[in-house]
Amino acid sequence: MKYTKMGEFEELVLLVVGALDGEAYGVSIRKMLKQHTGRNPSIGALHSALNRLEEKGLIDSDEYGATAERGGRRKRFFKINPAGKNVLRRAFELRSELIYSIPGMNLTNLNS
Amino acid sequence: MKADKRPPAWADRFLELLISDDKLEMLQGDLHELFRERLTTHSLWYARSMYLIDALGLLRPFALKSFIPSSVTNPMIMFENYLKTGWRNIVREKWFTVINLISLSLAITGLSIIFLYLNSELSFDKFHTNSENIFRMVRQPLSEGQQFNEDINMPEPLAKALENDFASIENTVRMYPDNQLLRNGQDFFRAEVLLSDPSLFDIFDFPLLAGDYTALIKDPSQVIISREFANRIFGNGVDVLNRTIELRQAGDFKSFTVAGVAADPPRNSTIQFDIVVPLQNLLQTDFGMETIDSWNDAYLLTFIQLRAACDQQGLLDQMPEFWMRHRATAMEIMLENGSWDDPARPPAIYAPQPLRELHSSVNFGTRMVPPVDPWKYWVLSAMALFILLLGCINFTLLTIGKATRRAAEIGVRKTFGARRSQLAMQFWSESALTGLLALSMALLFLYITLPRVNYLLQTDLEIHQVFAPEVLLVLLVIAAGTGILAGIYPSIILSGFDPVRIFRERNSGGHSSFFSKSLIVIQFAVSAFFLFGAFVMNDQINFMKQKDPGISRDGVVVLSTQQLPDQDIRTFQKELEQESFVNAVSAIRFTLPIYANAGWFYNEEYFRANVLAADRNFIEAFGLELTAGRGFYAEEPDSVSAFVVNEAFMDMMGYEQLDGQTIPGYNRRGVQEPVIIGVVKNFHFQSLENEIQPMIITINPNEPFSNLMIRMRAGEVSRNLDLTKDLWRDHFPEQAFEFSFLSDDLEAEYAGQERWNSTFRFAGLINIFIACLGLFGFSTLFVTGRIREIGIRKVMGASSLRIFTRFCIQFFSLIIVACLIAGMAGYLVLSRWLQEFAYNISISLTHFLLMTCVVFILAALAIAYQFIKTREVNPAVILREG
Repeated sequence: MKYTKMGEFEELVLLVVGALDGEAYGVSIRKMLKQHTGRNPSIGALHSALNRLEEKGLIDSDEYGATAERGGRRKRFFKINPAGKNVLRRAFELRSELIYSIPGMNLTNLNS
Repeated sequence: MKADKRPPAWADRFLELLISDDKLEMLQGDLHELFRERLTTHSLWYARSMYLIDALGLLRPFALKSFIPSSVTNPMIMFENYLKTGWRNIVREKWFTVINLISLSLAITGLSIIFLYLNSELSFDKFHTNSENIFRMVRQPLSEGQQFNEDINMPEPLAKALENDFASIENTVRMYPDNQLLRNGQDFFRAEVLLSDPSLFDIFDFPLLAGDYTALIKDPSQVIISREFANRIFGNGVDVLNRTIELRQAGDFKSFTVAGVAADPPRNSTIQFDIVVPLQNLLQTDFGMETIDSWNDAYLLTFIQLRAACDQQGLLDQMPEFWMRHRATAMEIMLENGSWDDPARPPAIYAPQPLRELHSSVNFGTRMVPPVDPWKYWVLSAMALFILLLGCINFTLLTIGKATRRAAEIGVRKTFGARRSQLAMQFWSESALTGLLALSMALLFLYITLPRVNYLLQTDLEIHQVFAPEVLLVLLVIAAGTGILAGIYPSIILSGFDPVRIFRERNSGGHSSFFSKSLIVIQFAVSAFFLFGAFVMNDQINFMKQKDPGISRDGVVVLSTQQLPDQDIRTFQKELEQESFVNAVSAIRFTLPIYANAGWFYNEEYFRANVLAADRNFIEAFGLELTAGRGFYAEEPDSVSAFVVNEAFMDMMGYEQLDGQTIPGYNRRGVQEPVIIGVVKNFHFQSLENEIQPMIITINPNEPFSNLMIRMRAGEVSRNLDLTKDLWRDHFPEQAFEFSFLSDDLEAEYAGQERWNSTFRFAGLINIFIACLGLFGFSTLFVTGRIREIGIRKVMGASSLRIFTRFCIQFFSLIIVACLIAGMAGYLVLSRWLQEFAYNISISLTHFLLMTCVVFILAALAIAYQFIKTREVNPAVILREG
């Protein structure tokens, strides 16, 4: 099984990119991250993570959508690809498997 | 949207500089969007600060530009293309190529000369196997103003004493360099004779090609001869072993047998010789006998060889004690007469000086190869760098000037995706190629200029030294480096051209930007500075040569009497005085310039004066002016203790007026406490660089004379000389007739200064030549670029001369600025230089005007061609083409 190493922050970014479904670019990713986690990463840190994800082949990107606020500069939109989804799924499976094996932890307990 | 509510523009530029092109757009876009967002909720100041913080946060490896060419393809393919295009450009623009090549090759020539020069200078005396362990003994004073000043002349017993006292000393050698007359049959030669212990060949690397130097130990009449000198005397390829030569020592010719032939001492050796003669021969003369075991007569160079890995510091620490042990008698006398007051500490020590420092120790000449002040290296290097600067400026000026012609090429390359760094690389490889081409021309220049350079720098550089592999490699690096240096600015500018602008606008060139103007000013300022220096130096030297020295020098011939018997010389002198062409003859010990010091103590003070020992008639015969007292009587009763002194001497002693004073404490060659009978006006007996020193004139016969000064009557010099020579032949048929002119001897003092002057002039001419070449090229571009403007002006009725004048004013105003800069810098530097001379000129407006005139005339010549070009412009043709 090919296992791609991924940091916690990277995983979050990947999740957000997937969730935004084609509307993910620097500023929107940052906004959603802030909404869901309360974190406020710098643009530099965010793009660094996006760059790593792209190098690992988990997301694709494309440039379009210039606006006046951006001084006529195009956005780079990121999209999760099948490999990325695979990695997310596997990570989720791994976690749920392990979390059930902790004594006293099951779905009912988790919900309460 | 308000215009001022923008992120700081410089932060954007900063990002553009550092962030890689493919990431820049999205990152900057994100930052700008965030900035707008923050503006809605926060202050402008906050938004801008956050922008800066974010921008700094972007400086992460993933986003930064790669400054290393990141192409994975083989760059050699592109290089091939660069070289091809470069070569085509070089061939197409013939005129500019010639100017560029000449400028760069002059720059390379300058650097190569400096490299060869420093290479030979810094390797001095390092070729000996033992060079690290060889030291020269010097006397170092431990306190100021004492009898024991710095000296390299050592007493005879020093070497033995050192060898006996210190186990760490492996070997010693004493030597005395002398210039002696050599006779081989009927032929006379001047030979550089090194009287030396045979251990010379053990300590130093002077390999023998034939024979055996151990013969010298047993038999002092055996000598070693250098190969070059053997060839000169006996002819090439002759077996010289056991041949006999005669050397004149202490007045007589003595026979010596050649025991061996040594390889010529390399040119970077301080120790030089034609013949090595055992020192025994010197020690056996009357003079030498007196000095054996005497610590007071210092005259021998003494070298020691230490054992490898011995304690050098320890040796140095023992030197004070060594002095006390061997100079006890001298110390006692000094303590007694009050000239020294510390019995526990010596006034001076003998100290070892490393061999490698010999060539740069300016205060200690060895009478063989004169040492060189390291300061000279800096000045010469600066000169070479200035030539380099000027050459590179030419390249820059012309490449930028004709850049518009290459704009299309740059545009096409850029459109096809060439990166800026690749274009820069292209221009660099082109300029490096030009540099390498210039090298071959530089070799030619080197060949032409080397004889002149050798004279100016007093070296023996030869063209074949260039072809040693390691030197050639360095020259290649120098050439390519010069090309790269010259290409820095063009490559940055040209590679920055914007393709869109290139294709949209049709730039016709002919602009003279502030940058190009400054470059021209720099060029002319530098060259004018050198010319200014050359003019001022020339005047100063002429001033020193022409100023009346206060002693007759015209028609004065100095004849060397070479220690011939006194009576014979006197007879010769008497007869010479009878000749109609002779005005006066006076025997003299040392001829002018005089640097013969006598020193004595009186009242715990140390006095020094130069000694002029001559005949009684000297003062009248050579026109010295008496200001007080009288000269010597022609006969008795003046005893040997009657002295005539100069005014400087009276000042030193503090005597206001001549009143029968004596010179207390003076004790030299049998004269004690002499009486001053007369005072002569100060006259220049040394170079005018120095203040006139105190001097005494004595007729003491114990100061043996060795020259005759003959003052000729006006008339044909060569005829008078021939007559003198005939008379000399009658008296001394077997002796060489060796003479010089007093005026030459005095002027020889300034030979060093004159060489500097010539060096300056040489550099100045090369600089101005490069500058004019550059101006020629630049004005050509200037006029070509404005050819249509000229056409229109002509149509409107302007004359060619008027148009040309318009352009001229532009250039000449630059040259005026350059001359002013050069004048100011020159004034500052040269007035300091002139202060080195006790008698100097002051820098005048004439020097400045002279320099300006020369620069103007040369610059005018450089742009004169443009006048013809302007005149030939036919508006009808030019304007239709547009």
